[in-house]
Amino acid sequence: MSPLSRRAALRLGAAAAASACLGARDTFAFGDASKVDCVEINMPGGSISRPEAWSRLLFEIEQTTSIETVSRVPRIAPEDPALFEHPFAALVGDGELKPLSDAAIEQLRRYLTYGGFLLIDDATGLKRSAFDDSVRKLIGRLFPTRSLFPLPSDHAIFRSFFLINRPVGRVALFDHVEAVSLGEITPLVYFRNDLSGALSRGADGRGTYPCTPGGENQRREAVKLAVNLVMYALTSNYKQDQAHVAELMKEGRL
Amino acid sequence: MSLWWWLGGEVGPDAALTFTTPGWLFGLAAAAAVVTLFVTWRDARRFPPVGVELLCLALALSVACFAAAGPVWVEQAGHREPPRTVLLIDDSRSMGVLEAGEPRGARALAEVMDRVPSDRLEVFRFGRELTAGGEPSFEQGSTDLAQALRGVSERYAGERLAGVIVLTDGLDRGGMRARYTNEDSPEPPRLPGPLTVYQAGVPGELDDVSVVSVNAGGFGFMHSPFTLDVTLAAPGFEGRNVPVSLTQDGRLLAQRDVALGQDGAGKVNFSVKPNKSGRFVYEVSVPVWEGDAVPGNNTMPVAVRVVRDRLRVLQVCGSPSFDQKFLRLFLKQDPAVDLVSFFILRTHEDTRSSYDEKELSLIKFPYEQLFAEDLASFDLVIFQNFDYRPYFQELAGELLGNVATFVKEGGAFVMIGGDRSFDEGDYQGTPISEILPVTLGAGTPRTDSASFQPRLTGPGRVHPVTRLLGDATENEALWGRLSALDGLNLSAGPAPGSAVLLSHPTLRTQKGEPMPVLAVREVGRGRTMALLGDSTWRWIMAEAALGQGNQAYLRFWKNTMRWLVKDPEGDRVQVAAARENFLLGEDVPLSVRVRDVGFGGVEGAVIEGSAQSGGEVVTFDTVTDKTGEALIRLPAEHRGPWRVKVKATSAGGGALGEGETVYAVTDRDPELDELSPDAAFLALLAQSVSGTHYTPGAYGPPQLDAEAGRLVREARETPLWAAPLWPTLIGVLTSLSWWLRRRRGLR
Repeated sequence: MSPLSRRAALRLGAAAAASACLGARDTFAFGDASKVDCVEINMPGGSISRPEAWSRLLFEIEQTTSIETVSRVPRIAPEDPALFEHPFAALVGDGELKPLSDAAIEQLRRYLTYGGFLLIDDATGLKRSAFDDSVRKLIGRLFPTRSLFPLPSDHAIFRSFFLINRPVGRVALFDHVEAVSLGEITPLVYFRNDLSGALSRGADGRGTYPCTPGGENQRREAVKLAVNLVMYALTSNYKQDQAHVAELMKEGRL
Repeated sequence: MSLWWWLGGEVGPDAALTFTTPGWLFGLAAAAAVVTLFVTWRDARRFPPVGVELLCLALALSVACFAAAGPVWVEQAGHREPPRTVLLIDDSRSMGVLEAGEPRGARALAEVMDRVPSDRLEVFRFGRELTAGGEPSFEQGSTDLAQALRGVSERYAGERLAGVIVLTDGLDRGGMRARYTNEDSPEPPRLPGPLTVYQAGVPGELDDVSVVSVNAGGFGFMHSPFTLDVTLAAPGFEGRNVPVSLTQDGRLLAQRDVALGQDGAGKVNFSVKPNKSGRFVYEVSVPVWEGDAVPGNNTMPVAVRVVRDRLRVLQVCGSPSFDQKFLRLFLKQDPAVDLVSFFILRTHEDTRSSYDEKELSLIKFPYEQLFAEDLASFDLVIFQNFDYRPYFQELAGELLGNVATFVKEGGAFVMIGGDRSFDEGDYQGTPISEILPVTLGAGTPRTDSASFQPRLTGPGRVHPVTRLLGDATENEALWGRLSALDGLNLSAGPAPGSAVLLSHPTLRTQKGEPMPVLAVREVGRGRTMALLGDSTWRWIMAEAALGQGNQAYLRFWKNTMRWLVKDPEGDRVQVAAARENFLLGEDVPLSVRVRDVGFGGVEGAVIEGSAQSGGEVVTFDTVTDKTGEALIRLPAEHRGPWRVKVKATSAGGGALGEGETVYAVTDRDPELDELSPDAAFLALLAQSVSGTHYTPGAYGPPQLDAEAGRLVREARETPLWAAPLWPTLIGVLTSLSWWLRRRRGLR
C-alpha cells in the first residue's frame, strides 16, 4: 500500500478531529509544568521587558505547530537558579547592559552548555549602539574561546519549521543572524533587527510598533523566524538530518 | 746418520714452508742479532782484518734467526671417499592414512627401499623438523619439506651426495608447496645431489569427505548479513550430493545439499544475519560416510565476533518538547548511536494559521516505510509522546504489530510519557499493549499532573538501568534528590513479567500497588521499557543549576540503552576466552572482569562459573584481584562448542552481575585437512632441480651421481725449527769466529 500524501493525511486528520469517533484530545492532561514557555532575562542596565511579544509568539506556536505551550513569561535574573526551569530564554535590550558578576556569568554559561537556549534581541533598531557593544562584551565573557559568527543560510534555524529567506524583525537593517555554536549546537543567537518589536501586539491585536520598510508582510516574516527559533531550540539540528534534507531537495524546496 | 736426521724428519717436495713464530717475536730476535753484530764489529775494527770473523758471526746469527722464526714443512695429502645417499621420509600423519588397508607411507617405503642403494644410505624422517634415523611412525603433526631439504644441505655442506631421495605425499604445509603452486618461477632448493621424489598415495584410492575451509572473515556486524564460505573436498565421492549443515552453539541454522564435482570438490555458502552482538561458534559439518578415511575432518568450527557497527535508534516524537530536545541531544552526541529522528511538527489541529505549504520546511512522515520496511534495521525504537492514530489509521494494527514482532525477535522498544502516550495515545488493545511493561486501561483520569518525586523500588535498587552510582546507599540518595517530575501517565499496574524500577510515592493502581513510573520487561528475545513521564530533562537542568552537571541523566539513559540492546560491552561482568578455537588437550585461558556501575574494577568479587557443552559440565570459582580481574584455566578435554557462564557476587554476597561467552574445542587435525596427494607440486619440484618424480606404480631407480663423493684431506708437518742442523751450524760458525778473534789477540 502506498503511503498517504501529506495533504490527504491532513485532510483525513482534520476529518477525524471533527468526528466524534476520536474525540478531542485533552491537551492539558499533563498540566503546564513541562510545556514550552519563554523566560525573559532581567539584566541590570539596558534590558527591557516585552512579555506581550513572547506571549504572542507562544500563541502563534500553539496555533501553528504541534508544540504545547503555556503563555507564561516570567522575568528572572541571570543568577537565579529558576532560569534552569525554562530552557528557552530571551534577553531584549535597548541600552548598555551592566557587567554581570562572575557567578552570574558562570551560571549563564552552564545554562547554555547544558541545553538552554538564549535569544538576544537588539531592540534599538540601530547599526551601532551601547547595547550592541555591551552584548559583545557579555558574549566574550560567556565564551572566551568562541566568537559570534553570521549563521549560514542553510543553518537549521532557517528551516526548522518555515523556510526563511531573510531574517527580518521590526527593522531590516541586517541580512544575517549572528550566533555562537558549541559543536553542532547553537545555543545563543544574537538578532539585531528587533524581533520582539515585530512580535509585540497591543490589546487590540494590532502590532505595537510599525515594521519598516516592509510593513505587515515583514511582520509576518518576523513571526515565522520567531517560530523557527523556538522550534530550533527544541529540535536543534533535526532539520539537517539527511532524511529531511534529501526530501526537501527532492521536492525542490531547498 | 742420514740427511733427514739433520732436518728433523723426512720431507717431500710437494709441500709448503710455513713459519709459526709470531712476527713481533721474530723481529725482536733479528734486532738482537743486528746489535750483536754491530758491537762485535765496533770492538774488532781496530785490529784488522775483521772480514772473515764477522762473516762467520753473521752466518751464525742468520741461522739462529731462521730457527727462531719457527719453520715448519707442511705436506698436503688426502683420499676420495665413496658417495653417500640420503633418503628423506615424510613422517607426517597424512602419510599414515590407510590405502588398501595399509598406511600409504609404509606401503610406498617398502617399494622405495627395494630401489635405493643400501650402501652408505643415510635415512632421515621429517615433519616439522628433520630427525636422523629411526623408524617412521607417521605421527608428526605437520610437513615442512623446505625445512627438511635445507637441513640436508647444511648437514652435508661441501659434500656431493650420490642422491637426495624424498618419499612424500606432497601435502607440504611449510610454504614450499604454496610457492610452487602460486608463483611462476619459484626459487628451487639448493641440494647437495640429484633429487628423486617418490610420491606416496594414490589419488582415487582414498574415500574421505572433509570440510576443507570455512571463511567467515573473522567478524560480522549486527543486523547485517555476513557469509560463511565453505569449501569441501571429497575424494572417492565424486559427483555425489553431500548435505552440509550449519549450526550455532549446537543449534541447527541451515542445511544445504552440495553437488560435488568430478574432482570431488564442492563449495557452498551460508548467509547469516546475527541479531545479537558477542562471540559465537558456528560449526559446519558433513555426515561421516562408511569408509570415510578421516571422520575428524568432517566438521569445522569457526568462531565469529559479532559487533555493533553503530546502535541504530529510531526516535519518533509526537510533539517537540523539552524532554524530546534533551533526549535527542543525548542520542545525537553519542558517536556510537546512529539516530534517525522523526518529530511531528504539525498535526491536523495546527492548521489554523494561514501559511502556504510552500512556506514550510515540513516533510511527509514516512511511517509506512519506517514501520513496514525499515524496522528491522533498528536496534531501538522510541515512541516519545507519539500518537499513532492520525498517521497509521487503517494500517495501525499491521504497523504496531510489526513493532511488537520486532521486539519479540530481539529489538528494543521504549515508550515515553506525555499527553499522546499510553492510554492518552489509545494504545490499549493494540499490539503495543502486549509488549509494554505496564498494563493499559487505567480508567479515568488517565494522567496525573501533580509534581512528584519518584521512588526507587526494590528491583530498582539493583537493576542496571537505575544504578546511577556504584554504592547502593549513595544511589538511593541520588534518586532521592533528583529533580521532581512534572506529571505521570497512569496505568493499571505492571504487566506480567515486568519489573517496576521507579514508582509514584503516593498514587496507587486500582489493585492498590504503587503506580509505576519506570518499568522494564523482557518480551521474547527483546526488551521494552515504559517511562510514564515526560520531564526527565529536569534531571539535567536541575543538576546543572546546582553545578553538578548532567551525569545522572546521561548515566540513566546510557544504562537504559545498554540494557535494552543487551550490549555486552555494557555488562558489568564480562568473561572472555583468549581465542575462539582450541585443540583437545590445550588449556583454555578465561579472563573474568567485574566492574561497578561507574565501570571501575571490583576487587574481591566472588566468581562462580561453569563451562558446558552437551552433557559435559566443568565448574570453577575464583576471586577478582585489585583490578577487578581473575584468570581461570580450563582443560579442553571434550570437543564441541562450550558456553561459559559466570556469576559475580560481592564479598558481602550482593549480586554484581552475570556474563557469558563461547569457545570451540576441536579434535580436528590440520594435517588431515587434505589427504589427496599433490602430484602436480611434486612434479614441479623435481622439474625445477632437474630431478625425477615417480608416481605410485611407476617407481624407477633413483637418480644418482656416480662421480659424487668426498675428498678426505690430511696434512703432515715437519718442525724444521727443531732440526739438529741449526744448533750444529750455529756452534761451528760461532767457534770459528771466536778462534779468528783469538788469533788476532782479542779476547
